Amino acid sequence: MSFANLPLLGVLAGLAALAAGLFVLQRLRVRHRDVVVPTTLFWQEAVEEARARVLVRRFRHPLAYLLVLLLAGTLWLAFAGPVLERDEEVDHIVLFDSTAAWMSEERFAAALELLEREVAALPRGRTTVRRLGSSPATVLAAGEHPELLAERLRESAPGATRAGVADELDSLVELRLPRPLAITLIAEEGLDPARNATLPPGWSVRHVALDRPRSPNRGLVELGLREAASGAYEEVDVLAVVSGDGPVEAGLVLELDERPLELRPAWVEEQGSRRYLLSGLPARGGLLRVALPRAEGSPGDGIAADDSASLRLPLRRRVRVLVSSTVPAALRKVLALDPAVSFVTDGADLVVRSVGEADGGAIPALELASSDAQSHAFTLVHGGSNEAGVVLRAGIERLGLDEIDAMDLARSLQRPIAVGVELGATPAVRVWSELLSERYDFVDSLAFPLLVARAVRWLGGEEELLLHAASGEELPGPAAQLVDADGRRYDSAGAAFVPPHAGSFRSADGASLEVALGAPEITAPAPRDPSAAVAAAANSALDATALLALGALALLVLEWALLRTGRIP
Amino acid sequence: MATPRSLPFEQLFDAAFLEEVARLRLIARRVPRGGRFAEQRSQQLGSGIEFRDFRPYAPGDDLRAVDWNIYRRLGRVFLRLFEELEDLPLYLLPDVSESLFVEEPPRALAGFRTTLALASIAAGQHDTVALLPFDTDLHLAARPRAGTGRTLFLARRLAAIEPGGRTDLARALRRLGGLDLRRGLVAVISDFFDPNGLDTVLAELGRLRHRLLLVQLVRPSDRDPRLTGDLRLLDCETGHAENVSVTSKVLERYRAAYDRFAAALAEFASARGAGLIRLDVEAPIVPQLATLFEKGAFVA
Repeated sequence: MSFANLPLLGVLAGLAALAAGLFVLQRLRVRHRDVVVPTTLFWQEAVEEARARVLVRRFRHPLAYLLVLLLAGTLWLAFAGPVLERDEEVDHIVLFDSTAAWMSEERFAAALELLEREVAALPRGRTTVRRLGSSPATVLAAGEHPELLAERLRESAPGATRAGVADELDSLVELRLPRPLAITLIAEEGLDPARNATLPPGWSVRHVALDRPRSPNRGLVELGLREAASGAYEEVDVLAVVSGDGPVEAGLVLELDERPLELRPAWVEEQGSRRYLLSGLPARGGLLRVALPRAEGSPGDGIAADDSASLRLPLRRRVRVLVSSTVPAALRKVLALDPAVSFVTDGADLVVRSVGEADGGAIPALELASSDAQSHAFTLVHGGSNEAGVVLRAGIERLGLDEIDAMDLARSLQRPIAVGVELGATPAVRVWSELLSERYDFVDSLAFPLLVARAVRWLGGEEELLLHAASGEELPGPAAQLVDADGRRYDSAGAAFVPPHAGSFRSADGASLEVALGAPEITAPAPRDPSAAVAAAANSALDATALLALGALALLVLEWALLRTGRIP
Repeated sequence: MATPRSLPFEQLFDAAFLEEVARLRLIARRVPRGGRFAEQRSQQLGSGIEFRDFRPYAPGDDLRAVDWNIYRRLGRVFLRLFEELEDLPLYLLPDVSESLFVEEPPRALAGFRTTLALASIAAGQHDTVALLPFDTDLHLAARPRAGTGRTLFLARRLAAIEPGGRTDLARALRRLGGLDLRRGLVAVISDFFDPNGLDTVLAELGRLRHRLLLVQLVRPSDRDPRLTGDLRLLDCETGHAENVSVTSKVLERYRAAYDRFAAALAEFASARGAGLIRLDVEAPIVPQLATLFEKGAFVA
């Protein structure tokens, strides 16, 4: 048994104090019955009442004392709020989804009521409640009174974020809890059955959802970009996927930098989803907003958070390249075919030359070096802000060096083909000039133009394409400190950033990050199997307060009856 | 305990009781001279038929009492003295305080019947009877009168008495003593539960020049109260409350106190030469009186 209102020690201390206090009162208590007599002359001589109220005399009426002690003790226990918990073999945890799934109508309020009912049915001493969402938190610890739950969630509102149930379960598994865990998931969407199979032995997951189905909903489940299919370097293509069981939209509402964008995207229908392609958008760093059309004054569909999303288009500018006259024709040719390259004679962003040449000055350079002067076939020169290993790994991936058939080259050259890193004042990529010789197949390989193109982009400071940003999904690369629209700060400490919710984020240098909801499981959940509806848990805890109060009332009636019949003083 | 109420005539003196009183009168007449409670040897020079003694003549004496035989023989004048049986006024003092009326049956029922029985006997002997009930003071309900119709008159007077207040027998006796009545027999019919204490009462009784007959109205519970537990005893007259936890020891002390009270009363009666009768109010009165009369208990 546990007590909701008092700790066990407090309950016992209270009982002891009651017993002592009542004991003292009982010793001093004398209830007189009035009797009229002809005279009290003889009684005055015989009386010993003066000695009846002395504490140290014989204790009288022990049964009456026990009765009143029982009565007072029952009331005290009722005040302590005892709860008899029948299920003490497992711990319980309730995962409450407070994400965009409840952002329709009054579903969140109904979900809160459902949560309270579920929690009330679980043993108080072994039930924890976690709120999922952008900031997962424990809103009710084991042993706390369920009324605290309502108080703590009163200001809560569903957030434009995904539940992250899988991540939460992973965290729970890693805790290596001593007792089996019975998980109650209160969410629109249940857990993947395959995930259930990976839970530790003795664990169970029970999905509880609202009885009434959600209104039809349709929204954006994906928004991303890619290199323009046209090949234009300073353009990108954007892909938007709309899904759901709501009415199919008649096109999309597009805005670029808050101005309407007159564009009729192509689309294809695919299993209830429409995939829109916005081709040739200018890569000038603009903010693209994609929204589903809504008639003015219409109430909207089931969820509003997925009705629109924004995407920051990259800032793309052709790299101004100065090419030295000593550069072999093969390399010139590849450069000429690169849409990202713009040949200039001055004001270049990048110079292509042989090592030792002064063309272009101290600017990023793609240089050709003699194998006698350079130990590595490919050398990356960097400014030193990162560790050499980091630069090396990034360089290999970024420059596509892993696409090079190094074994073949090595056999041809009779020398090992390696990648090295050096510190230098200006970034550079140095390649053995011998590799460009017609004696080797490197120039004819697919790796060569790839290397050149990527080297140009890397050395030219091309912004990496952020293909898409969705809540709950890890973004590539380390992230700086970010601040959301509400002023909340997020610092992933140099690790990859996982946006906690949809919306705008801004870094210290002013760069903005637009994150879409991108949650198909929320926008267009799989149809729920009616047979899988789960009834609420049977109340395994018995609140004994009412029983004790009734017991106290019965004892009171008994005392009254005994008093009336004169059986107790 | 019942609330004090007056006793109607029919309840007090029903036909059966009056018949018993008549029989009691007959019993009283059969008692030899000297056995009646109203007998008194007169100290006066009487013309009765029983010679008692001679005394020298003093001027002013009645010449009819001169014994001329002694004068002829001795040449001195002596008077013949005779015993004269005078009537003995009976002064009845029934207790009409509240305590006599509160119990069930009320002691006043037995008290009034006893009063009427004594009055009837006295009236049958042509003695004068007065009715002087008392509570906080002495009251005059009937002047001293003789006559055969006196009994009924006194019965009506008794039935008209209302329950009184507190008991103050000492005060009533002081007033009686101050009335300068012809010496007679004072019969106090009471429970003698005077809040002022028995000693005060006995002191006043001792000061009276009358002969005394004390009729104590008792009941078994006076000595053996059937009370248990923690009680608040309320004196019906004074209202005094006494908190008592009745235990065996308390009852022991109670009985001892009561015995002392009874013994003090008996001791006084013995020393004073007074008659003392204890009447059980819960038993028929007349048979008790008859038994006591035959045993001569009325003569101290």
